[in-house]
Amino acid sequence: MHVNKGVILLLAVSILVVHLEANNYPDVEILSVVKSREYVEKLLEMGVDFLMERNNRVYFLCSASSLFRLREKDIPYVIETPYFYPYGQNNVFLQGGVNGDYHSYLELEKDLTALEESYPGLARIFILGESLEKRKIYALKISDNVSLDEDEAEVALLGCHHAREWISVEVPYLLGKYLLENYRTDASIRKVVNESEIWIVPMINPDGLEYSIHVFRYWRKNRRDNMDGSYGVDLNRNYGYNWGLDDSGSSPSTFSNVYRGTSAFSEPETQAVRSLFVQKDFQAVISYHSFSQVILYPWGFTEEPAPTDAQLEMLAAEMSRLMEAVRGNVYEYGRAGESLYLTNGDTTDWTYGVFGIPSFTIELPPVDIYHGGFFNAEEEIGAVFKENLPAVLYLLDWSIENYNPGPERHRRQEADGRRQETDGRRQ
Amino acid sequence: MKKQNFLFLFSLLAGVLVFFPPSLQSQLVIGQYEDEAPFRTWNSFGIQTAPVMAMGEIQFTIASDSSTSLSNPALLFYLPKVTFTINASVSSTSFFKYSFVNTGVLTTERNAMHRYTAFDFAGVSYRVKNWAFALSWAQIEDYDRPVVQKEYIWRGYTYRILGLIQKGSLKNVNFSISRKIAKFLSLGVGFNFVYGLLERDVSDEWVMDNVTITNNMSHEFSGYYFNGGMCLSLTERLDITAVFRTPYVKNSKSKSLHRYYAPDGQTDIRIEADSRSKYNQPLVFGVGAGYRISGKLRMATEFTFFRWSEYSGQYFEEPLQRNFRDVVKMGLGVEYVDSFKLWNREFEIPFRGGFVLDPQPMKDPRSNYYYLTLGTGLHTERFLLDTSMMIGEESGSGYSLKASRAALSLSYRF
Repeated sequence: MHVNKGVILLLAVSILVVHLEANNYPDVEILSVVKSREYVEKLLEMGVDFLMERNNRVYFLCSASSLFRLREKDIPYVIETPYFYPYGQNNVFLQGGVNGDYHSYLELEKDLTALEESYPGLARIFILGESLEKRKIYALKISDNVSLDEDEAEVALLGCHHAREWISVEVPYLLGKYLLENYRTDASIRKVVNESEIWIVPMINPDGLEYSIHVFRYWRKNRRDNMDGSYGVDLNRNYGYNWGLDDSGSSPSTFSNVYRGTSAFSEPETQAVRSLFVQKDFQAVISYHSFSQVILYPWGFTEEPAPTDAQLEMLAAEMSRLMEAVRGNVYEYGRAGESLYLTNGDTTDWTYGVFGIPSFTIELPPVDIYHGGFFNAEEEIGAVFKENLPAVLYLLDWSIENYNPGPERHRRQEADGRRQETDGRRQ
Repeated sequence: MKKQNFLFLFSLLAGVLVFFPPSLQSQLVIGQYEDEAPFRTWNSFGIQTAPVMAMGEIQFTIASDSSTSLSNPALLFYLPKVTFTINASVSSTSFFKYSFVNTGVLTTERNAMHRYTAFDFAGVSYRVKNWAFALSWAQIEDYDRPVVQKEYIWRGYTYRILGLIQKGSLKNVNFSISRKIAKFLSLGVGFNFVYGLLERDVSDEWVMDNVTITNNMSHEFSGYYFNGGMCLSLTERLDITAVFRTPYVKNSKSKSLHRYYAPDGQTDIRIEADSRSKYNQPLVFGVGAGYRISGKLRMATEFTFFRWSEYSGQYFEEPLQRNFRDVVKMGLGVEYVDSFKLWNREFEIPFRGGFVLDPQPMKDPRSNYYYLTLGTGLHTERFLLDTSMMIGEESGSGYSLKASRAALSLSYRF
C-alpha cells in the first residue's frame, strides 16, 4: 500500500502537537524557513528539532523564547503552528462535499457561526443582506469589544465577487480564523485585533458559488434572471463609481461575462456591500479574486494614475515583497487599468473613488491558465493563505498606524456626503 | 361491429402507436433542472404498462396485469391464476432548463428533445385459493437528459467544446402478496427494493490552450419501501380502492470529481468527493373507483396524493434545497371491449381512452400536465397484446410544455 510520506509526517507532527499541548509547553512553536544550506547550518547550530521538508521549506520546532535568536541570525521564518491541528480535532481542511475542502454557502455559514461561538468577545457575525436566491451575505467582524463600534481603524476584506474563484472565499475566511485562534498566544495579532476592527465578507456571491459548485464550475456572475434567456450580473462591474463609463470596461450585453447590470448597485449583493461601507469608516480594503497573482490598485476605469498613486504603489510593493518572502511566489503589482484590462464599476474604484481609501484587488494564484486558472488544488488553500497573511497583516498595521479619525460627527457627515455623491454618480 | 371493421380499426391504431410513437417538442418545467428530477414527471408511483397507460393511467383500481403489484397488490387476486407480463415503452420529452442549459451557460433557441426506449417491466403473478402472489421488476424512473456537444468556432477553428451527458435510471424489484378477506374485500401488501445509477459528465475543453475542465458525478442509489392497498366491491358493478406507498429514503453513494487538466503546464488538479446523499421520497396515498357499466364497458377514476411538501434530503451531506408543495394527480379512464371470431377462435379487442391531470410539485411556477391517453389491444384466451400512447401539454410555465409516451405490452395467462 502506498502511503504519502507527507501525510505520515503531518500526522506525526499533529500527534506531537497534542503531546505538547497535553504537557503544557505553550512556548514551543512549529516554524519553517526556506530550504537552504545556509539556513539549515544556522539552525543546526541552534540545535532545533527538525520535523520535515515540504514544498521547499524546512519545518522545525523552536521555543518561543528562542525566536529572537532566529532574528539575530537573520533567518526569515514563518510560524506554522496554527496549521498543525491536534490529531483528531476537526480542522479547516475537512469540509467535504462536491467542492472538496472549499466552502460551500452552508459550510461557510456553519464555520462562521462556530467562530462566533468560540470567540464571543472577539468575533461577531453580521448579515449585510440577502442574495437574489435569499442566501444571507455574512460579514464577520473581528475586534476586541466586538459588540462596540470603537474609535479604531476599520479594514474590509472581501471575497467571492466571482463565483468560480473559490480560493477567494478561503483566504479572507482563513485570515479571520487565524486572527481569532492566535489572539491569545501572539502579541502582534492581539495588538492588531485590539486596535482595529476587521470586517471580513468572504462570500459576496453565494448564489453564483452554489451554481459553480453544483452545475457549472466556471460560472462567474450572480444568478440574476435577465429575462432574455441570459443569467447573471458581474458584481464586480455593478458598483457605483463610473458605472457603465464605457463598453470596454464592462458590457451592456446581458449575455456577457462582464455584464454590468441595469444600473449601479442594481444587485442585492452589491447593495449589501454598499450598506456596510456607508455605515463604517474604512481605512483600507482588499477585494480577493483569482487568478493571475497580481496586486491591483485604482484606477481600473482608466490608465491614468490615481491621486494617491505613490502611496498605493508603496503599499502594493510592500505587500508583494512580503508575499514573495513566504515561498517565492511573485505577485506583480500595478494600476488595474494598466495591469490587466480596463474595468468600470468595480469594487476598488468605488471604494477609492468615493471613500478615498487605499483599495486593492488581489488576484490570487495561479499565475495563468496553464497552472490551473480558476482552479487551485485543495492542498494549495493553506499555502495561498499563508503567503497572503503577511501582506494583509501589514495593511492592517498600516491602517492602525495611519488612523486619524477626527471628530466622530465630522466623519459621519463626510460619509453622508460621500453616500449622496455615490448615489448620484452615473446611475 | 363487424369483424372487418374491428380488424381495420385495430390495425390502424396499433400501427400508429407502434410505428409512429409520438415525439413532441416539450420541456420540463422551470426549476426542474435538478439532477434527481425524473424524466417527464416527478410523480412516480409504480409503473404504467400499455393497458394501464391507455386508460388514463388507472393503475390501482382495475387489474390489468401483474404491474398492479407495484401500486395495489390487492388487485392481484382479480387476475387469472397465472400471468406473465412484459412491457416496453418509448418516452419522449423535451427539456428547456436542465443542468447548464438555459440556466446561464448555454442558451438554446428551441427546446432540446430527448427520447429513450426502455424495456421497463417484467412480472409474474400466481393465485391459489384466497391468496395471490407476484414478483416483478420495473424501471420506475429515468434521469436521462439531452446530450450537449457544443463547438465554439472562430474563423474556422474550433476553440472550445462544451459537453454534457447525463444518464440514469431507478429500478424496482417488488414482491407482493394478496388475500381475499371476504367476498367483497381483498387486501394486499408489497415489499419493494429500489436500486439505480445516475451519472453526469460535464466537460469544457479549451482546444487551443489544451486545457480540459471536467466534472464527473455519480450516484449509486438503493432503498426500500412498502406499498399496499385494498379493493372493496360495494356492488357487482362498483369497486372502491385505496392504496399507499410508504415514504422511503433513496440512499446514494455519491462521487464527484472536478478536474483541471492542462498538460502544457503539467497541471492536473483534482477535487474529489466521495460521500453520501439521500432523497426522502414522499408518502403516496390514493383512492379510486371503478364502475362496470355493462359487460363490455367500464370506467374508473383515481386520485393520488403525493406528499411532496415533506420532500427533503442531503446532497453530498448538505441539505437539499427544494421548494415543493403537495399535489394530487387525477386519472380518468374508460374501456370498451368487443369480441369477434376468426378461424374459429375467439378474439377480444379493447379500446381504451383516458385523461390525466398531473400537477408538478414546484411551488413557483405552478405547473400542471394534461394528458390524453389512447390504446387498444388484441387478446386471445392466453395471449394479450396491448399498445397505447399518451400525449400531454403543460400549463403554468408559459412554455406550453409537452410530453409523450408510447407503450407495448405482452401478457400470457392461464
